[in-house]
Amino acid sequence: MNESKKFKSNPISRREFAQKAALGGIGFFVFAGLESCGTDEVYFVPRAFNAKIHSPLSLKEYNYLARILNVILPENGNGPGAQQVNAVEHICSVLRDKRQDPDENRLITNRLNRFISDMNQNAEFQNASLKVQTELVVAASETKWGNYWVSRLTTLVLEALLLDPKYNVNSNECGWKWLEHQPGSPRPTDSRLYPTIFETDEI
Amino acid sequence: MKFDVCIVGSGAGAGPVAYELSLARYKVCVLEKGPWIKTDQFSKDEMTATRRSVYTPNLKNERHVIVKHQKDGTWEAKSTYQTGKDYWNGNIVGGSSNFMSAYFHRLKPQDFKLKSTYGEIEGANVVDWPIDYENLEPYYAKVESIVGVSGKVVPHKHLEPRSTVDFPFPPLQENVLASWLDAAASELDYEVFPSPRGIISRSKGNRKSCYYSNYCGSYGCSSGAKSSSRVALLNDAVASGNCTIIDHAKVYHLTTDGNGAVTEAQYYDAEDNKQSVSAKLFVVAAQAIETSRLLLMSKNEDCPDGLSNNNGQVGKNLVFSGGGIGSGQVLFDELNPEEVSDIKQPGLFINRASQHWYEIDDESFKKPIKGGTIDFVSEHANAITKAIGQKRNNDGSLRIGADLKEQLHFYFTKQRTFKFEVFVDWLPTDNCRVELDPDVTDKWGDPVARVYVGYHDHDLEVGRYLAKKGEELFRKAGLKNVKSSVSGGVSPNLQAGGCRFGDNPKTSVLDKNCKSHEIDNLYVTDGSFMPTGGSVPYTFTIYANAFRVADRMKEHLAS
Repeated sequence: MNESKKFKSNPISRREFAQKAALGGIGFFVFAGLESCGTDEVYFVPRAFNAKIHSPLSLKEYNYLARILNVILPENGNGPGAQQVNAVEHICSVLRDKRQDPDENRLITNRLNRFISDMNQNAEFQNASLKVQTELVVAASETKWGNYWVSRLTTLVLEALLLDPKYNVNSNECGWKWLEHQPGSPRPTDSRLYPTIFETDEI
Repeated sequence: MKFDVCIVGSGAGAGPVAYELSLARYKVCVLEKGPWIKTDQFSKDEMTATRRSVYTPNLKNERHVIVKHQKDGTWEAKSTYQTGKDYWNGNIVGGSSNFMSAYFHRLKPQDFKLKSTYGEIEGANVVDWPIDYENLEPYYAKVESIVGVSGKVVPHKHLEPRSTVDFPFPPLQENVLASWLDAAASELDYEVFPSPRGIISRSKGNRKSCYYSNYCGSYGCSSGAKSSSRVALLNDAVASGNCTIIDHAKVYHLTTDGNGAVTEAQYYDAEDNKQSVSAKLFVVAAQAIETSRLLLMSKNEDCPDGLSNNNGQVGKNLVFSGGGIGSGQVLFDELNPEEVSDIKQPGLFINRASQHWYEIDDESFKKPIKGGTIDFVSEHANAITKAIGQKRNNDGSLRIGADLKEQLHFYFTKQRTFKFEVFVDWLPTDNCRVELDPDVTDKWGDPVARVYVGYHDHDLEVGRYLAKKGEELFRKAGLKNVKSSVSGGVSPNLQAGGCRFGDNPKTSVLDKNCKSHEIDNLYVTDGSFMPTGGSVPYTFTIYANAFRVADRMKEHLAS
């Protein structure tokens, strides 16, 4: 099957989206980045874009990626969500990391832009409910081009969930606490975190 | 300055030579391509230990080309930069011994005589070793004492002869699952015994005892308990005043004088400047793949095919230690709270092994054959690695959203996974070897190693047999969802061969003392010398053999 066609066959119609979006537009209940309209629909609002923190993403890329990550690890009452563990900020640090495989990093952003492009032909992904967004990301993950991309994003989200909070992820050890994970000792000192460790004399 | 001995590499094959010769007042120089990191500089940071290339080279700069056999009979070459599967195993002073899990089983007498004991196997290049177990036994005992091995000797039918009654360090503390396995083994009439570990259970000199950090394999040890070459040997070698360690020294060529002797080791320093070291004797111990690569790269007019390679044997008969893995789960909802608390105790070791089938005499095989070892272990504490393992459903689809979170929460809080690792003889074949890649180079422009990782089907048959036994023991012990996997995939961290030793220069690279047949002052002391690997991880034997060769080198220098 043509992967692009397969991907585009799943999303909701523009009309269906408009109905869902309209439904979500009133009576929001705001809870840590999530908005609910009193029905079972949940809407996610990312933090404000900050070019200093979120480079090299554009505003548009940020708005999509933050929502995609929230689909992968939603804030649903069962443990922290992607925003709480600073997943998008973690991915930005990976994209800025010159030691990372540049092809892998290009893949993240190139396929993000392909996703954005596909969404623009269907519906306004950004304003869709979490349920609808999930359907769209799952559909992408079932394509040949999207499977590895979503898998790679998931890996990075899990890093943000479970790395040492010294990396500005896993806020207040929320990931460790949720999963009852006991970190090893000694924990890393600031000077021996990645990639600062490369600036020490011995590395 | 001209040293008595120059050693390329600083891991398990290098440390004993540096230790013995420097304490014997010979001037020793160790060239290590990576940095020198001290015990108090290691932490249990999953990011630096396993998620990024910190203690191994960036694959963009230094890679291997791995050639694998495909189902359609063809061979496919891919670089590790393409696949992300790293064949570097710890490029720092002390080498990969800093990051080992340290299961220290000795070889057994029949491992030295595999061909004469069990006969030829078609398609495999099996040969007997030129030495016997008796030649190596005193050095196993030396490693147990000097490097440090903990455990408890328990009689079993394949227990090797020992010159000492027991290990010098008592066994490490155990998780309650060990007693479950003991009980299950007793019911099945299977023999299990405490696994010897290269981890000390009480302090030794400047080394503190194990503190049960729960992060051992893949991590540098923060107490010095793990018996790495660095803490166990090189620190004492340096303290003798006779050993110089040069870190960030990537050796790329051994120069010969045209009269059958190496005169210089040439290396790139931290700023990529070319430097060299002169010595009377040279030792290569850069881990099997890189050792073969260096000898092949050191070709010159006198040795047009590489050093010690006039008979084309360098790089041949590479072997890997492995055979299969299995796992099973302890589900908390089947236990009482006290049992759950016991099983969740972090840091304690399982430390059980079985060599009940080190030789298999079973009607499913035509005659007695060489079997192997099963080590029973805890799943690694690495949180991210465990979480990534939950990304996909059994059908391969990705878990996303609530499903992913539910699975993560279950896996981390409602169960514990335990594993077993199967070690069989990885039979040496023509399809497992090292060459220089004709096209791909590293950041200095030198050809990288092209590694063929073929395997013999016999390895899989033995692996499957042992894996079934492991599964039976886990099920009897009450574990659920027990499964195993046996494949020809290699464990890149457990490599040997490529410069096998033997009495015949036409079929071996080294003599029985691990000295080159062709070059009088060149030794190889990592796992490269092994013609067959036995059915255990190699590190203990590499240490022991390097101590043995160090004694021969002292005689060489004295003469």
